[in-house]
Amino acid sequence: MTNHPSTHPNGEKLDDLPISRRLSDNMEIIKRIFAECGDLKIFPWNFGIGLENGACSVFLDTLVNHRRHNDFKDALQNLTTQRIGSAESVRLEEFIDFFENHGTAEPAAELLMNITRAVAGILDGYVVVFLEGWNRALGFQALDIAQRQVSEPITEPNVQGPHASTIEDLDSNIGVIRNLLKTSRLKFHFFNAGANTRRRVAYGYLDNVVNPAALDEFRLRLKGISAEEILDVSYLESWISSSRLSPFPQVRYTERPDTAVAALLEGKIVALVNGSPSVLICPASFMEFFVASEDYYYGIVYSTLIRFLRISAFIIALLLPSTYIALSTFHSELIPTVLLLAILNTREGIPFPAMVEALIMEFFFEMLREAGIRLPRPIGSAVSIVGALVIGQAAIQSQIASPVMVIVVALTGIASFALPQYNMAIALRILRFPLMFLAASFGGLGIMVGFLLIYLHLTCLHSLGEPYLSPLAPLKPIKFRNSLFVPSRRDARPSLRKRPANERRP
Amino acid sequence: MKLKPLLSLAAVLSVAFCLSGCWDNKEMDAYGYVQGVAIDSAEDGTFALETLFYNPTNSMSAGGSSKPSEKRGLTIKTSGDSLFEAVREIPMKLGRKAKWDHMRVILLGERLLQSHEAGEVLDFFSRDHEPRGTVLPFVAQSDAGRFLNIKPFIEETIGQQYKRMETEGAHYSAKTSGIPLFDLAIHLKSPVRVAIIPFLHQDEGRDKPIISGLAILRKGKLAGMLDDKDTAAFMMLDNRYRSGILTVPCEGASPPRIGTAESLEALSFSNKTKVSIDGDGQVLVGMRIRIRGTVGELQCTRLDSPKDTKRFEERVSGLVQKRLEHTVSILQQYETDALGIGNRIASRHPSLWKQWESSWNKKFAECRFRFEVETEIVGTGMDIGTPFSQEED
Repeated sequence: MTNHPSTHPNGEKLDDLPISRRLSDNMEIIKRIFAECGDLKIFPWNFGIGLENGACSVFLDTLVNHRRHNDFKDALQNLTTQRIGSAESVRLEEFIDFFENHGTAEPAAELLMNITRAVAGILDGYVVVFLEGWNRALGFQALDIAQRQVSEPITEPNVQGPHASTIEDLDSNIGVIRNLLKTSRLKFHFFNAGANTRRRVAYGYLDNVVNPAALDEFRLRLKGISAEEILDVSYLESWISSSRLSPFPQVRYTERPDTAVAALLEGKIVALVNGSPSVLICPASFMEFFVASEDYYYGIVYSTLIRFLRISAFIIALLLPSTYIALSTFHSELIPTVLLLAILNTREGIPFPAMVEALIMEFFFEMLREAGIRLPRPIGSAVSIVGALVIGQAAIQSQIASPVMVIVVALTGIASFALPQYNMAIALRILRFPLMFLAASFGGLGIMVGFLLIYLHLTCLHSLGEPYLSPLAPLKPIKFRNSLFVPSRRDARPSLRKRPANERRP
Repeated sequence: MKLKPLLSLAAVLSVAFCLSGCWDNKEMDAYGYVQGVAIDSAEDGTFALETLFYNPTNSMSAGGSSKPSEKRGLTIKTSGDSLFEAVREIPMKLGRKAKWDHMRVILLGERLLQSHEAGEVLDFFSRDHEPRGTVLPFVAQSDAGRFLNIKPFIEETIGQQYKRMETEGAHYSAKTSGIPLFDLAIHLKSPVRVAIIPFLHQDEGRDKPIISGLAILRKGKLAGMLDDKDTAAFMMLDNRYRSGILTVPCEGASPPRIGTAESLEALSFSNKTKVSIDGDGQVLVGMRIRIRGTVGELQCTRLDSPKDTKRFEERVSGLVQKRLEHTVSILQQYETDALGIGNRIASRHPSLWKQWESSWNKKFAECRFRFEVETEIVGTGMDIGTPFSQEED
C-alpha cells in the first residue's frame, strides 16, 4: 500500500487523525468519511476468551466481492498455533504484541497506523480490521477485480514472435516484463497520481544502459504530475513532450512485453499506468517509428526490405496528394506523355480543380475512417460498404472525382496504414493538408518549402533532450545504417550492452 | 512595432498566398495538349499552321461502360505572318490555350523548306519555354498539313505514331535517323551548316505514311534527299548506326531477289574516322569500320569452316564498302558535307578553315575517302551454317 494524498474529497483533514482506542469512535469516523457509499460493509464480530473483545471488518463490497474475508481468521489461526494455544484463549494484549513487535504473519496483511491509511486501504481493496482497545488497524489485501485475459496484442498483432499482450493491470504487466528481463539492474519506481483516481504509475529502466541525462530530464518533466488525474498512460505524453504542438509523436507505445523489453535493452525508459494496457517508451527518435518488433524475428534481408517499404509508405502518405496536385496543375510537362493522355481522359469533365477534388476526397476518406473507428463493429461494416460505393464508384460515375484522384487518395490511405506506429500515421494525416495547400498555390516549389519546414522542425525537435532525428542528425553512420538496414544479431549485440556514452543532451 | 506572432504569421501567409504563387496554376482541362504541329507556307507568303491536339474523352460515361472513342485527335488550322501570331490564334478556334510540352513531332513542309530556311521556322520552338528539345522534326513530302489528318494505326495520336515510327525505325532498321530538335539546332549552327532531317512521305502507291530516307538541309534549305538504303549507309558514315539488317546478294545474282539474297544482322558497329590534309590541300578521309553481327538468313552460302566464314565476311565488307562509296558520291554530288568533315577541320585547323569556309562545299566534293571495313560474324543464329533450303551432309 502506498502514500495517500493529504485531503479527503469531503475536505476533511485526515493527515493527523489517529486511530482511536475506542472501536465505536473509529467506526463513527469511517462511516462519516464513506457517507452515502452504499458498497461499504462494516462487519462487527467478537473474539477472545468468551468472545469479549469487539472488532470490526471494514471493506468495500464491490472491490472484494468474490473473496471471503476470512484472512483475519487465518492470521489468528497462525498466531494461536505458534504462540499461544487454542484460539478462544487469545487475549488482546497478546494479539497486539504479536502484530506490533513481530510484524504481520500474513504477507497480505499490513499494519495501518492512522485513519488516513485505513481509508486508503479500504479504497485499495483491503479488508481493514479495527479492534476494540487498539490504536492500530490491520489491512488484508483482498482486491478482486475482473481483469482482461492476456491475449493477442490488439494494436500490434504479428505472425512470428510472442503473442502475449500487456493488460490493464500494472502489477502483472511489470511482472511479465521482469520475467523477461531477469536482472536487478531493471529498476522500477512507483508513485500515485491524482487526488481522486490515485492511479498507480510506474516507470522503469535498465540502470546500466539508460542515458542518465534522459532519465534526469524524465524525472524533471514528471515533477508535479502527482496532482494530475491520470486515466491512461498517454496522459504522460504531454508531460514528457518538449514540443506540445508538434504533430510528430515524441514517445511511442506498445502493447507487447517483448517490445518493451527490447526498448529497455536499448536504454529507453518505459512508463506504465494501472488500468492502461499500453507501455509508453521514451525518448523516441524518428527512425524508431519505422521499426516493428517483428523485424528482429525474421531474416535481415526480408526485414530490411520491409523497412524500406515502410519508409516509402511514409513518403507516399505524406506527399502523394500534394505531388499529384502540383504535377497536374503546375508541371504537367513532367508527366510522361502517355500517362498524361490517360490522366487527361479521366480529368475531362470534372467540375472541380484538382485541389478541391483532392480536398473533397481526402475529407470524405478521413470522415469514413473516423466513422469506421467509432461505430460498433456490426454497423462498421455497413459504413465501409457505403463508403466504398460512394467514394469508389458513384463519385467517379457522376464525374465528381476522377479515377486518378481516387487512386491517389486510396494509396495515401493504404500507405498511412502501413506504418507500424499509429501515432506517426496521425502526424502524416495532419501534415498532408498544409502540403496540399502549398502544392496548390506554389506547385513543386511549395512542396519543397513545406518539406524543408518539416525537416527543420524535425531537426529542432528533441525527445527528453535527445535529438529526434538522432542517428541521422547528428549523424552517427553506424547507428543510422542499423536503423535503415536491420543489422544481423551478432553485429548488433555489443551496442546493446554498452552505455551510449556519446549521447548527451545538447 | 510588435505584432503577435500568430497575427504576423497570418499576415505573411496571406501575402504569400495572394501576391505570389498560383500565377501559372491551371487545371489540366484548361489546356489543349499539342501532339504535333505541321508548318507550311501559305499562298500569300504567311505561315499556315496546322496543330494536332489530343482530344480527351472521359470514358467513364454515366452508363459506366467504357467505350474507347474512334478518333483521339483534332486539328486546328491557323495562319499568321509570324509563327507566334499563328499560335496565338489557336485559343480563338479551340477555346483552350495550346500547351506545347508534350508535342511529339514538328512536320515541316517540303515546299516551305524549298523557299525558307528551317531556322526561320524553328526559332519559335527553340526559344519558347514549353516545347522540349527532344521533339522530333520531320520534313514532310510536299505539304505537311495533310499528314496530321491521318488516323493513328496503333498509338493514341498520329503525333505519337510518327514519333514511335521514327525512333523504332532508326533503332532497328537504320533506314531513318532520329534527330531531335536540339541536335538539329546544333547541326544547323555548326561550321558547315548542314543538317539532315528524316523524311516523312506517302508510301508509293498507297496512302499510308512512312518515315524513311533523309532530307539534307544546307544553310537551312532543302539541298537533297537520300533514299532508305543510302540512309543506312549514311548512318554508318556518321557513326550513328546501331543495328540493322545488311542484305547480301548471292554471288552473281543482281539485283537480289527472293532466294538469292542473304542477310546479316548487325549487332554492333563502330566507325573511326580520321581526317587528314596532305601537302597540296587535298582532304583525305579515312574510315575504319567494324561490324559484328550474326547471320540472319542463308540461301546460297554454306558456312561450314572458318574459311567459308572468312569469305562471307569479306563479301559483306566489300558490299558495305560499295554502299558507303555510293552514298559518299551522292553527298559529294549535292556538295553537302552532312558528315561534318568540315566541322573537324574547323576545330582542328581554325585558320585554315577561315580560308576554306566559303568554298568548302566545292572542296568537300573533291575529298578523297578511304574505307577499311572489317566484318566479324559471331554466330549463325539458332541453326548451323547450312541454309535451311539445303540438305545437311
